Amino acid sequence: MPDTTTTVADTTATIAPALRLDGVSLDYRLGRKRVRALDDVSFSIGQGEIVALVGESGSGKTTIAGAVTGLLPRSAAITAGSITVDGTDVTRLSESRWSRIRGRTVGLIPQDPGASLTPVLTIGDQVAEIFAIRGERLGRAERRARAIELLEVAEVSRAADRLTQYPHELSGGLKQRILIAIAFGLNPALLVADEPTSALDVTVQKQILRVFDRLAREHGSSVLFVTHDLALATDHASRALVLQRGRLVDDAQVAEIVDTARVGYTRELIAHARATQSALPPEDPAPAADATGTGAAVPALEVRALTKSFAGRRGANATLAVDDVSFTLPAGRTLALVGESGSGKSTTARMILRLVDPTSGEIRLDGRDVTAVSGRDRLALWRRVQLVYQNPDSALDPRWTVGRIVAEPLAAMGLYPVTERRARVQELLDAVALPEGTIDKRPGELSGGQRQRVAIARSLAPNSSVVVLDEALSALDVITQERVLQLIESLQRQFGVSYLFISHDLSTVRRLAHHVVVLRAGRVVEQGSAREIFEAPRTDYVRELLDAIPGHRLIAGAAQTATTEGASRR
Amino acid sequence: MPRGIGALPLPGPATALSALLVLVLVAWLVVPGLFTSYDPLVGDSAEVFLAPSVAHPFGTDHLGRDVLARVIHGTTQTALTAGLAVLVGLALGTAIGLASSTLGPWADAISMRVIDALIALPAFMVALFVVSAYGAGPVSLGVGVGIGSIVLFARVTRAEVLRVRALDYVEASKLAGAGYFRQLFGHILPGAAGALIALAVVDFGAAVLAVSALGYLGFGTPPPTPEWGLIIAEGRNYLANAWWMTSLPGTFVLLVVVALGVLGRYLGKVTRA
Repeated sequence: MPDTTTTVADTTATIAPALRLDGVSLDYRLGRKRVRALDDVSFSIGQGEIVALVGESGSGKTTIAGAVTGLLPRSAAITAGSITVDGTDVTRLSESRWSRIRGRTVGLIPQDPGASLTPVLTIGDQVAEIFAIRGERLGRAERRARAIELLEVAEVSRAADRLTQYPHELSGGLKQRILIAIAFGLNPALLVADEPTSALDVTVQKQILRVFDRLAREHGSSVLFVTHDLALATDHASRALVLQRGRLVDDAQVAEIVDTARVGYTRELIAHARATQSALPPEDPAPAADATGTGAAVPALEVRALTKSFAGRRGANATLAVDDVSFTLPAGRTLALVGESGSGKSTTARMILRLVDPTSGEIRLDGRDVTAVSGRDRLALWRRVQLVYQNPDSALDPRWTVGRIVAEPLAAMGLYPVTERRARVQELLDAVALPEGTIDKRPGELSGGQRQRVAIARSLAPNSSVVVLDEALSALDVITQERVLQLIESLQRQFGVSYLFISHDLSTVRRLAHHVVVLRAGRVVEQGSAREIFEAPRTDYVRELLDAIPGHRLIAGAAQTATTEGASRR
Repeated sequence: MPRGIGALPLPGPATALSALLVLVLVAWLVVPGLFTSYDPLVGDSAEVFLAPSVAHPFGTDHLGRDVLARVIHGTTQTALTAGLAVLVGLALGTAIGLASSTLGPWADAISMRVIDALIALPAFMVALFVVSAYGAGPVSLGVGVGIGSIVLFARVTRAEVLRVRALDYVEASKLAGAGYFRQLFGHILPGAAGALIALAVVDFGAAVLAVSALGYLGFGTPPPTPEWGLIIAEGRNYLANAWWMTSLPGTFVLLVVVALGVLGRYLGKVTRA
């Protein structure tokens, strides 16, 4: 259990704060336009304090992280205010001055560990850079010993072997541990962690943050922890700064926020986080109340003993990406395929969509066997099953208008007479609650949530009965996520669509799914109704997954309100 | 990413000047008579070898013709030949690039080996080859220079198509029921077009240079029709007493090639933004 209550903010009031922002405003130049990213932001972080910076995407939190580490793009210009790190004014430093401050005075733990280690140097070489930066001249043996020691402190397994390995040989979690080891190895006055675990699985996230918490405590580090996840922030920080559209709207102790947030926007964020954290899974109405009204209880989708093996490279054994997976998605319901990266959930979905050929097994859609459908015969299948992608930015052609995008299935499949298509598209856009006039806009003019609504509208266009939601909520920030989630639920009630919801995020699964299938390394670990899985997990693995969901303090802090709220919710 | 006009990167002074020069060229191409009152073909025997002056900014040649008038009227010949070259390169190169990136591993392997073989041949030599085999003249010159740029267009097309095809929206289009051509013309080609347009502009500059160079060697338009390479070649014999006959048109060709390069790079940046 991470214990973050033991920070020492109060004892060092007279020393210069680790970080101080004084009325900072910042603009980005975009062509001829200037876009304000930060507007009069002021806060400070005391020595040894762990402060979370929370906000939705576009709130300016990454801009603050960039300004504090001197890593802003050229188009950014600080127009007012000052930034002081450990007593040094860094507002307008040259790049050469920054390079002396970065690492030693300000450390950074980046979001994407993959892009932050040099691919052509061994881990040992990269860790040894610390000693060069610190100006320590060490012998080869001593350098090696110290490097191993540093890695072991960050709980890197088999530390001695890692020194000769290259970054591509390591998992994302290991790379992040190594970056944490390097950052703490320089013992900077201020450590900026920019969404350090958002690219990692929950169980890995939990282990990494435990190491991070311990090291921060041992070193007495001052930390700016940037995250979009309020649950993570409250679990790991003592104070939280809340940003909204470039303005600092709240600055309060976590304990205080959890109990009684004073600022409306913070209260909203807390409420949303709690709604997903403590909601009970939706109850499964009796199958007789079948929304499609077909009477006979033919499942929307049935998968039997589905297996996919990928041939290994020369000599290597074939790997089983999906191994004997079976489940049934009843019509008008939601089934969640849950698992960490590499668990085979996406491969399963792609086999169901017939984009990948199964090695063996059977897929039945509305009772019909579609396992062997291929080529243009898949058109009939795609009229029934559609896909919503994780990232709405790449799922919509930026050159097309929304109207043309949503009409694409209609045009390509020859559905609806040409003259009626626009009306049908408008009807779909109304169903996903997009504002009037969206039909003639291009994706670039819409927000992330609106783009995902467009993608959902497209998936419903051919009157499909099953929609595969491939991590469809995970690229959205909390409040948008909640709204899209509600939309997805209401579309199911309205149209009787069945969802195959693929996700690594158990808190959204808890909100949406009637049935849950937990995958690990291609195999089904456990499956059952959402209530069984969440309230009485039978396997250790699922218990571990549930335990790794952040937000313990958030729930504990409001145990009473949560239970009454939970009871009134459905 | 917003794609409004306001979000485009501002063109720098070099880009603005380049664009201005290219606009002037287009005007010369369409209405050369508006920019000079001298006849490009018939000279005034009383005015041979006049040094550059206000009346004759580029001076006059051995037949008393205004060199600037010949450059202005020569734009048509040079630009059309270079344009033909770009067209040949663009059409064949894009077709090969598309085939290799969309028609499966066999098509890819074969067409890329053909491209590798073409890379091994210097483009200028290929052009010389075609011109000497089919006779000097603007058409064979254009085709010859164009064959040399097939390689570039094929490789860029292939890379761009592979990039665009990996985007989710192309797969979404497939799931929406779109066939090969619908995907190709609806999503893939428009996505790749930006890079190809930028390349075409840069390649046009290179083609102008190649056409002028071959014209200089006497493989292009026969005299007295003005053509940039030919104009420079004619001045060669009088380098000692009339430096302007070669230097000024030569510098001008250089500026045009640089301007097209700058403009192409700007377009490349804009379309990738």
